[in-house]
Order: sequence, then structure tokens, then C-alpha cells
Amino acid sequence: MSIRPTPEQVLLLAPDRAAAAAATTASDPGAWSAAGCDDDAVWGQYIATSAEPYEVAVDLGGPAFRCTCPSRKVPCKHCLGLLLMLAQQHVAPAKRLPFAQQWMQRRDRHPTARPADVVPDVQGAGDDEVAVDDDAAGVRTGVRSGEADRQREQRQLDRAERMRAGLHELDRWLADRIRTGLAAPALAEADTWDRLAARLVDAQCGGLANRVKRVAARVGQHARWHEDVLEEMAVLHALAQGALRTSTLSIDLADGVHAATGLTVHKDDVLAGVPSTARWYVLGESRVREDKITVQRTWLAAQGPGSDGGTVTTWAMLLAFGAFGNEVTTEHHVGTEFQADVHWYPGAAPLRALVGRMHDEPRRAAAAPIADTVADAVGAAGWAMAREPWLERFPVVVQVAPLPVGNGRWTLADHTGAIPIVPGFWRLAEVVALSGGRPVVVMGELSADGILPLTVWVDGGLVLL
Amino acid sequence: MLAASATDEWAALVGAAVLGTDRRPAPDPLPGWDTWAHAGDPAVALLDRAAAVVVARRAGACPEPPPVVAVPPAPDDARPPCPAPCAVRLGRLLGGEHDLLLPEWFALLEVAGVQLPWASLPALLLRGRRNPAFDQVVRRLAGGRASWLAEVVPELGVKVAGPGTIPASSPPFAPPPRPPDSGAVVTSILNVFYDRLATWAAAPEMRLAAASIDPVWLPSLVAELSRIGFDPVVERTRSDVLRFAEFRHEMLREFAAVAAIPSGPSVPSSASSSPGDPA
Repeated sequence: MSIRPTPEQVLLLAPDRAAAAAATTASDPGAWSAAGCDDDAVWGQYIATSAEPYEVAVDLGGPAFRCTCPSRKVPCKHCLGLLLMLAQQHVAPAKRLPFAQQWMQRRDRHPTARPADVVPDVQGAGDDEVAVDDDAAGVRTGVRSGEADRQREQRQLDRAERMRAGLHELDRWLADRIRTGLAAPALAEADTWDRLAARLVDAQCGGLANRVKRVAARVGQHARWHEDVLEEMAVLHALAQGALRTSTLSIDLADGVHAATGLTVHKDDVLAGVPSTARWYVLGESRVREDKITVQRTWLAAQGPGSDGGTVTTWAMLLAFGAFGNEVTTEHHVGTEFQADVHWYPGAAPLRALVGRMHDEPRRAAAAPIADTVADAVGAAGWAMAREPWLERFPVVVQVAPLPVGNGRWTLADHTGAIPIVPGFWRLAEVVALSGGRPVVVMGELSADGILPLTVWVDGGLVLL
Repeated sequence: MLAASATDEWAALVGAAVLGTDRRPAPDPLPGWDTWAHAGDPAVALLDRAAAVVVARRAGACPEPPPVVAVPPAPDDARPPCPAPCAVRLGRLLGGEHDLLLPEWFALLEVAGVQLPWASLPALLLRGRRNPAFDQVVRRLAGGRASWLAEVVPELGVKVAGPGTIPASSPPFAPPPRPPDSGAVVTSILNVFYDRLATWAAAPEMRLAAASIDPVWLPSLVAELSRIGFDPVVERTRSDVLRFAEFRHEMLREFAAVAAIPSGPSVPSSASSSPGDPA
């Protein structure tokens, strides 16, 4: 399925402000010859000051970009200008120009070899990845024949080699930072981190690249940021070391390491695994905007009696992405429950999953979920962290009252303990107003900074935050 | 022993990492932590050791002890909670959709005798800072929970006590007065459309008229407005007034449904039977 963008969406793709400004100039139809489009692509020749016009083409499915101009920006102003013209209905449907036809055919044959894509094609299957599923991005999958299989194998080998080099480089970089010290001024420069992230993208370690960017955001965040950054660097070091010797790890752990570094598990392979059939309750949904992509996490839980008489909560997380500035569509609504097969992505502490067969229609759940105590919820998160220490968030459902701890900081607490609410949570007053100072059932994401509340159950109803 | 020393081991590693191992080598590992200190390169050894502490700290994380200061619970409120559709409707009104109908929503809530949707209370109180008449209505309907919230969440920046008397200059907060003959008002609204005088400039006046009429006339207004054929002169106003009338009609239906449900926790059957949709 192709996506016809709006001008705003096109400008969101610009790598920087200068490119966005230049794109508007480049969208003058007078500067173009033989511009045309069909359902999947748009192309044209940009008449530049040089002798030869630039050949420009955009695959609308990816989106992916091609331009013969010398700019190293992806997408360059010509690709953006072309998309702007398309958005403003200045491009008419036409037969593909030969260069566009050839390029699109090559992309059809090599759907994974897309070095120029705006989104790295490595898909972090970890619980924290920003990447686009093949389907979500609308990329056509290549035909699998004998020849294609061989090519695929070769590509995988090439990729493994590139990843290896990237992992070595990451680990050297980390050691260098420790040698010169975290107080060194270079660490406070965004460029230092951006360059590393960019090289990791080149090495197809997209998962690590995104993680590096998140660590960079922690520099200078508060007085004790050195501790946060050392913690994340130690985790990166462990991941790099683990990824360089996955053959010595248990299969589950190796899968977890692969997912965190950015190796893809194909959807079909996940769905081919043994499912867990249960009654799944949709407990929460979070949306985060990272780079140009909206990441949506939907948390499902299956609750049943455990061996010790308590309740065992099994979690599954569905990831969805909104590329191109589009909204993510919500497939499973919070507060509903359904009988379904859930397939987890492999890993040592599996959370990310796909819903396979649905055995009935989703129905509004009759009651709030069964809540853990704070101590049990934090304990469950600890077990998961012990299996995959690079997990960045873990779901909890607890019965708690919001309590202030001074300086405008709040916690969610019961008699077993308290979890701080993440700093900057802007709907705190709503949670307090809902609770009336009494315990309410809260589902949220637990991270190193505290809990991010997502859903509150009170008085037989629920409120999404 | 391992857990007790994790903090000290971590502090030593942070100190060395901040200055850099070139300048300050990390001190020898504390007992129990030496397993991870074998790497020859001091920087790599520090990362190895730090990773081990991080895993131990993350896996062994304990909740903080519960705070000793308790928040006094909000005053009890015997009214049944606000039904979800009405709460969603308020969210849309507060979002700027047809906020001309906000006074009527509050009037309906009061008649229905249900609680305010508490999740919207902070937004309502913040809005009231600029509008004393509105604030007075919100605080009256919120019962004790408004001043309770203002007190326990001082960072909200809302006064604990509402306005005692409303300054004469503040706009009144009440639904528009009902005309003596709503049928005549509907007819005149429609005539403005038939005469092609319903320009965009006339839209506010028409919305006000649609907000004031007796609700029994809303269905016929909606039906007649839907029937008017496309005309570029009045189309924008037509669809706007139509949406407005439909919005008001749905809002009234939602509150009518509240009255139909046997309310209050005192009725034992209401908990087990699912609230059907009588409308």
C-alpha cells in the first residue's frame, strides 16, 4: 500500500531545517522535467545548474530515496521537493522513466538491501526498538526462489561481518570514553554520540544506535548524570560483548542479545512458534515519538491462579509504528479482553509478541485486573532484568495510592513499598484527583526513572492517561 | 554481603570513570566483586565491573519504603460516578469542541446527581482561574474534592478556596435562556438557510439559537438541516450548525440514559447486571 503524504509529513522527513527550507524552493514545478508518479513511486528530473539534470526517484512504500545529486543528506532537497510537488498535486500519473523503473525493480528484488532508507532496515525486536516492520513500511517482500535464497544468505553473511565490525567499534569507543573520563567535554557534545550512532546504523546495529541516542539524552540531565551514563555504557558494553560471542550463550539469551542489537526475527517465524492460548486483557497503551516515528506499545496480560495460591500475571507487548507522521491505529482497545493465541518473539525475558488467532470477539472486561503489591511487581521486574539487564521498561499492575515525597515528587505506594512516578509526568493531578487519596488500580511501565502510569481503574470504570 | 557492598563498589567505579582511568585507575574490587576484574585494559576492566554491578542492582532493585506522610483522603462522595459517555463528552467540550454547550453539560450533570468525572477536575479548576463564575459552578459540583485536590497538589497552582462572590464583570456561566417558542426559532433558523442568508458570519448566532431551543425540537432541526441540498453559499454554516445540533442531541441522550439506570451502590442488582443501553 502506498502512502500519499501531506506537505507537513514531507517536511517532517527532512534531515534538518536547511533541507526543509531548500525543499520548498526545489518544489517549483518549473525546475522539473518529466516528473510523474504511479501508486508506488514518484520520479522526475531536476534541472540543476550543472550540465546533467539530477535523476530523482522516491519509493513511496519505504519510503526510500534516490537522487544523483552530490548531497549526502538523505533525503536530499530534491527528493523532498519532488514529494512536496506530489503532496500539492503538481505531479501527474505517468509511465515510469527508465531510471526510475530500474531502481524500483532493484528494490523489489532486494527488499532488505536499502542503504539509503530513512529508516534503518534493522528492526530492533527488543522491547525498545524504533524501527519499522516490513509490513508497516509497506515494503514488498521479494520472491523466494533458489537464487534469491543464495543471495539472501550472502547478504546475511555480509551483514554479520558489518555488525561484528560495528560491535568492536562500539566497545572501543566505550573504553576510550572511560579512559578520558566522563567529565571530558567531548562527551557533552551531541556530535560525539551522533557520529557513533550513525556508524552503528551503517553497521546495521540499529537497536544499539537508538540506545546510544537515548544515552546521549541523559548527559547533563541532572546533577548525578554521570551515574546514569556509566550505567547505560556498562549495559552497552555487556551487549556488545554478548553479541560478539552469542555462540557461547544460551539460546534464549542469544536471542535476547540479537533483538537488542537489532537483528530481525521475521513475523512469520514468530507466528510459527508455539503460542500461548489464554484470555488476554488489554491493560494499557503508551505512545512515544522517537525521531520521525511514533512507537506504540500495547500491554496485554493473562492472569491466572499460581501454584502458591496467588495470581500469576503473564505479559505480552504488541509494538506498532506510525511512519511518515501518520497516526498508529489502535487494534486492541484498553479495557477489552479476548481469547487468543499469543506468540512471543524469542528472548530470555520475552515481552514483545504478536497476536495470532483470535478465538472470540473482544469484549469489555467486567472488572479491573487483579493487582500485585508494589513489592511483588518490583520483584517480577527484577527477575526480568536478571534475564535481560538491558530491558528498558517492564509492565506492572498495582493497587496504590499517590503520595507526595516533597519537592513536587510523587510516588505510588501501598503498605509494601513505593515506586516514584517518572519526572515530568504531566497528568499527575488527574491521577490524584481520580484516587481521592484512596488506593486505585494502576497499570504502568516501570523503568529506571520510575513508573509511567498508563491506565487507572476506579469506581468500576477506567481512565486512560 | 554482595548486596551491601554494591553501593560502595559502584561509587568507586563512578569516581574513576568520571576522571578517566588514564588519570585515576579504579581501586581494587571489593570482596565478592573480583570475578569481573580480569581484563588487562583498565578501561575495559572498569566497564566489566560496572556491568556486573548494574545487573545486580537492576535485578535486586527493591521498592522505596512507603512514605510516612499520608495524604488525607478526599471527603466521601455518595453520588454515583459519572458514566463514561458523559465524561468523554466533557473531555470533548473542554477540548474546544462546541464549548457553548459547557454550561448545559454542567446543568445536566447536576440534575442527574452524579459525580464530576474526576480525571477532568484539574483541567476544570485550571480553566476556572480565568473565569470565577465557571469556577464557582465547578467547585459546587465537585463537592469537597476541589479544595482537597488544590491542597494536596499545590503544584497545580489552584487556590484552595473558590471565589466567595463573583465580580460583576465576569461573564455569567449558565445555559442560554430558553426562548418562549422554540418551534418558531427552529423555523426562523431554517428560513435563514432557505433564503440563502446563512453565511459563515451568521453561524455564531445560529449556534446560539440551536443551543437555546427546547431539546424536543432538536430532532426536527437535525432532520431539516440534513435535507437542505448542497449550496456553496450556506454549506459551511449548514454543516457546522448540523454538527452542533447533533452534538447537543447526543449529549442530552447520554444524560437521559443516566436517569434510566437504577443508580447508587445501595441497589445490589446494579453491580451484577451490566448497564444496558436503554436509548
